Amino acid sequence: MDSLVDWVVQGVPIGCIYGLVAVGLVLTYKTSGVFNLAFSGQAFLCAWFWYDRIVNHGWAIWVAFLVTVFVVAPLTGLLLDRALFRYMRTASWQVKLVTALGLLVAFPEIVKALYSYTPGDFPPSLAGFLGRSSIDFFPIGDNTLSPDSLIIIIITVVAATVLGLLFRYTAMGLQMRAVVESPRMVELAGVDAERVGMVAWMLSSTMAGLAGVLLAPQYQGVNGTEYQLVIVAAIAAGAVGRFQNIPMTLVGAIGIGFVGRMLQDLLASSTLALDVRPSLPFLVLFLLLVFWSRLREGRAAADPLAGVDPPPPAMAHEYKDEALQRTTKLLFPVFMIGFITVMLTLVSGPWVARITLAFVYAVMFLSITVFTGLGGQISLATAGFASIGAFGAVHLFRDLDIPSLATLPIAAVGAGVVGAILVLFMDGLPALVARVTRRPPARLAGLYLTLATLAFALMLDKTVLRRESVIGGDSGLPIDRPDFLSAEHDRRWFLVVFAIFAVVGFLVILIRNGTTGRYMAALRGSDPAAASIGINARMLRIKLFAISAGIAGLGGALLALHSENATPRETVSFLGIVWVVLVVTLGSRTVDGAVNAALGFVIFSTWLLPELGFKSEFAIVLFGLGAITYARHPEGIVEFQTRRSILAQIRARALGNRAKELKAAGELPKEFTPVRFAAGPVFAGPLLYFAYILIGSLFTEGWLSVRSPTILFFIVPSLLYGFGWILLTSLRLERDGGVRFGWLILTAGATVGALAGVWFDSEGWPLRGSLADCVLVGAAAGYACAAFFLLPVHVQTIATRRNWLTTPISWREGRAPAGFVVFGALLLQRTTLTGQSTGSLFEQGFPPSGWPVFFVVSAWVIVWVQWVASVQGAVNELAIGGEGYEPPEEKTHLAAREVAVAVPTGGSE
Amino acid sequence: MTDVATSVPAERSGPTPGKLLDVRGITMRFAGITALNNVHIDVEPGELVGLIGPNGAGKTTLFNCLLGMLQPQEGEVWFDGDEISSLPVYQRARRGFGRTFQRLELFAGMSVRDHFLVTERQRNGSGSIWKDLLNLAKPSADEQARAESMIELLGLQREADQPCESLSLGRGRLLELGRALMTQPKLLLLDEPSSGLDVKETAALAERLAIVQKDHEFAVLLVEHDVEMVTNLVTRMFVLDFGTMIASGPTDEVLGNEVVRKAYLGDVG
Repeated sequence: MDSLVDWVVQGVPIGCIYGLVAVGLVLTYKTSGVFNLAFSGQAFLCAWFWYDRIVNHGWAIWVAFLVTVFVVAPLTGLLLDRALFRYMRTASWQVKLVTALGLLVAFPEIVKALYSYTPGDFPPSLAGFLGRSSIDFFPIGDNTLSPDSLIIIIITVVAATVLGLLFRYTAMGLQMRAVVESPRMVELAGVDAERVGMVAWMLSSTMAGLAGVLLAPQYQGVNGTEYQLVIVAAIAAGAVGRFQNIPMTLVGAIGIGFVGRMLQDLLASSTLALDVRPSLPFLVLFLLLVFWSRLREGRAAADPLAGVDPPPPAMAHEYKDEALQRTTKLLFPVFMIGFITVMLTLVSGPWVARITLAFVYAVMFLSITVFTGLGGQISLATAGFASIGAFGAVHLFRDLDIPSLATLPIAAVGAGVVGAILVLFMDGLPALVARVTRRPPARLAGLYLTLATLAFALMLDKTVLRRESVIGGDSGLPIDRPDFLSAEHDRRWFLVVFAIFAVVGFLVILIRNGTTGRYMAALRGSDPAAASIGINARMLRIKLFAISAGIAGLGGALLALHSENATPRETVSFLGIVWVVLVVTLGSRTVDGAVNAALGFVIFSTWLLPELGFKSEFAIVLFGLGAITYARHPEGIVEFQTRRSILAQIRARALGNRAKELKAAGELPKEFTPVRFAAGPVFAGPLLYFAYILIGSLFTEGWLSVRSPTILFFIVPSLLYGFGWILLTSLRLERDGGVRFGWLILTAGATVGALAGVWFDSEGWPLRGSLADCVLVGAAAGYACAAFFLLPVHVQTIATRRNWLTTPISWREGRAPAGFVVFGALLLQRTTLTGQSTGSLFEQGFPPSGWPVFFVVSAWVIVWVQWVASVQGAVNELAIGGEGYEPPEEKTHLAAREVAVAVPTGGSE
Repeated sequence: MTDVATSVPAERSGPTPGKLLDVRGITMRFAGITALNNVHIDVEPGELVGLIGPNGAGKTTLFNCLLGMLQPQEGEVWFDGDEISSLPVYQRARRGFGRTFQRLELFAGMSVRDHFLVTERQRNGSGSIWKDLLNLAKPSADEQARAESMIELLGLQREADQPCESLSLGRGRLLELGRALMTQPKLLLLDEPSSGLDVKETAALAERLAIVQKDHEFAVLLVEHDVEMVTNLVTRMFVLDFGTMIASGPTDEVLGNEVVRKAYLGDVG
């Protein structure tokens, strides 16, 4: 009996905290459709803020409490809504989930960056609210209840009651429930859906703030890991309430707290406990998700006004016409041959290893391309299957003496089989049961499938991947490559890895272009219609999941062979999330999306960031924040850029054709300058420099080292040409009706830049020739930044004056180059002040030189040249546009003249 | 004489001979609302049958139950001699159902031709993942020919290779009809196919439908509000009102029935 009371006293308060987080989670889900897994991150942030104010700034506890919970917490919610989630109100669940995952990944790192983190500091207690000290316990029978726990219970009850009343009895509550069903319908009824969404976010974030503040004393310290545990318990609690019913969610949460405490006691001594206990919450969640089909039935209602959206633009490759396709067909093999040649000859040892690693990751990421890009579902278990593949290969090698290369296909098949069993269990078994009992067969898809894969990955983390017999200790288990591929023959190994990647990539493309891909396209287009023509969605999904698991397993085994060791990763669940965010953000529908993701991941985290003085964990923040771009471009960055560049090419060609016509008729205006005359010389300098490096390296051992005086020698003439062109074009445009006093703006920019240069110098840069150099560079940078925005705005102004419906270019064109200039300045400051000298390729002192800078400068050059080309193209359009000229963009895809969207007309059943 | 829906004998007695579709005692409840109440409906092979009734009567719900998208609390569905009540949607579809939807459900991003090709591929079952991997998945000459003849039949040549989103509603409905026909169904379920179409488009749709039906002799179960269209096409009718079948029988008799006129047609003939 005593133990029962003990379990209640210990378990209920923690259950209440789970409840607060769970309620916030459910609330957000109900009102925005976003499953905000980053909730615990928000709680963590609030906890730190509160702690920081009290301990480091001496605020009174109740003041800190009020400010944290009622100011900071809602503000973070507001920020998230305004910056991110408001763009996603009508987006698909995949977009919403991936963005939430991105936040989940980025938040803890951001918090760590903001606050210097010393675990073990004892956080202040809220016991003062009850007029007691924190050790003044309430006796309950033989047990004691701490004041902190009591406060938790009281606050939870109050919060839940307030929320419940809000939802039931206020207009706002009703509006919140309506907005998630159909924001457009709600607006037709005269309600501001934006405001409602905003309020919902602020409200649920307040819950996060409360949870964060209350949790800290429980855990004797503000520690990130506990907060991540909380989110899983909260999901399980939400599942009990079917992600809809707030009171049930609370009951579920308290139940979980209670049962957790009970099991902790009961299983403490048994050996089973060591395995089962840590994974219990995940196991419960998993079983609930799989077997409780009522859970998945809730949100079938579709937005009746979904048909109002314009159709999504086609994939980039569909825009290509004959000419472009021919060019691609030519260029691609040339590029491939060039790439392989360079890899086999010029590239240095560490880089061969890095790029090989990138292709290993590319194989793993292809698993995401298959399941997410093709299958339209999100699996967070990729890293789990990769681990299965890796350790499977190692054990085959060590225990069964199978040659290491031969373990690759076996590991792939093995992982695929595990994947098939898993998905058959998750999806097929309940379906069978449903058929026998004649209950509606609810599919495991969408969010629930994702959560089930997360639960699976978490279980792997806590059980299989902790056993010594599997992973062999912290340093993992070694595996050897065959002799002819050992470490000295790193280029041969690169060829092997690249070949494997090419084969897998090719197979993925075949699947996408084959029957399976067509069926998946039909399913994506309309699920019920696909079923009505006989497509078996479940079987397709099972196949795709098994294939993606197999590919992930192959990637994992390949990684083990690459590092000649299968190493246990921190947590496969976390990694799985990072990878999904990365691949989806860059582009999950195509193979080159996977390649880009892998290259970016490896190059950023193993080279670029450390060389530039950032911790490699910072890469995770960047990837997480990449989720912000994903909200705007759900097709992925790579796809978006490709489409943009193809459209730009088509547009340029149309312009060129028109110019030819006019020239033939002798009517070409003199303002028209072919783009190559503007962008050519600007690009010539850097291009010559790259050629110089390439040719020079052929004559020396390995690559020439990159020195900034040489860069400057080549780039400065181009730069000067560019600046001259800017001035000339600006003056011309101003004369034609552009922004007044453009020359003044340019001068002002130069002056501000010069002043910034002076300031930099005073900060102690070790400059050669110091002040003059700084001023010069600053003035140039300032002039350029002003021009980046000024010229497009000139064009925009003139176009508006002429009453054109669309302007050929807008101020946004200036963001990228200006951003690079600012970033470059920051970079220069970092690298000189911190005096980095990692590796022999980097030389100390100013100007900083070396390959990292070279790459950054190359990227900037491309952006700069693109800007020049865009502006010149826009100027040309102004010159010859007007009568008889239509920008071709709108016509590329929807060729039909009468375009009508099928809007549902009356008639319900 | 028209008869108000009679109750079927309580015991299951196996399939009714001569009936392609035999639906007995379907009752569907949604959270307190009885959408369908002990509904019986039947269709013979090659027959054209109409299903009319006011909005909210439960016609689309009945279709969803027939095809398996919804599972009724009571009732059986017999098709072509087999009970299909517990089969999932795709299996029922493969047994010979074709369906169009009240709200157009096209495969976003695919062209007209692609719709027909993917349907044909599913129908002939020649696709497999192994063939994909061996690059043997391109549409065969046969499949291309069938798709082309469907395009011609429906007069969609002009839009054949354009994305389906660029089609007007009338053309989209034709596309849906074509897609359903590509499955070579034994029974075609049409859910308000003329909804949103003008007079010309409705006539064109009805004409095409009649031609194809004469050629291929499949049965049709047609839900429609356009009484003229229905009368011209079907020989037998069922009338559903608030989940209950209130009349069934040959077209003229149903249209003349007092109960039906009051509930739905108004007193105008």
